[in-house]
Amino acid sequence: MSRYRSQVREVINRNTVVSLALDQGFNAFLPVYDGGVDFILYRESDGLVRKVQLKGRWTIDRKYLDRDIWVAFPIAGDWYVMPHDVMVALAEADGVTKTASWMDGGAYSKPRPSKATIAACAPYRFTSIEAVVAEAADEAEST
Amino acid sequence: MAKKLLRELTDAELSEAHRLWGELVAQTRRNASKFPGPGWASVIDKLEEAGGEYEAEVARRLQPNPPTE
Repeated sequence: MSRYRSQVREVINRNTVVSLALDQGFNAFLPVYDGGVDFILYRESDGLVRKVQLKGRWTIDRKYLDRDIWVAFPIAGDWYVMPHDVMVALAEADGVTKTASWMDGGAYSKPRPSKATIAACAPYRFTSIEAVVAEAADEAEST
Repeated sequence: MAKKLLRELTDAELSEAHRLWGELVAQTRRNASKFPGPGWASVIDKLEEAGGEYEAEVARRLQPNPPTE
């Protein structure tokens, strides 16, 4: 993928996740420099804060360990936002942390997570973007 | 969690998903104590609810004639 196309894809993904979060009452904030957090979600009603790293697939990386970072990633069109360290625990249970990619490279990504992984991650899945967009369109039409 | 998702898993996949879910709950609890803040209670509630769905699906499969929808 060209650099331009990859940047456009990242903006589309970011806007998708931000739209899903807005639907759940969050506001989104962009950092002034790239320090591993792509954006911050904050919900004033209950004080919830999510420091989000956006990925194009299920990904873990040592540099995100122990920082309370949440990873946003898509699987088959659905978006998930999960605590990074919880994903690492899943990876350990899955044997991923014994791979060369993790041990030597310090990172690992799954382009096609197993059905078992998808099912285990399901509680962290967002409502589908289609449902959120349709609801927003319905509301706009009725006002 | 979507029951449909669980129904589509083979017995082996369901067992593996249940095992991974156990790891996920344990680490989520560790994260909740390491990074205190609002929101963890609802996350853990959601995970426990999912655990109930796993158990319900396992119980359904153990019946002699599992009901279908």
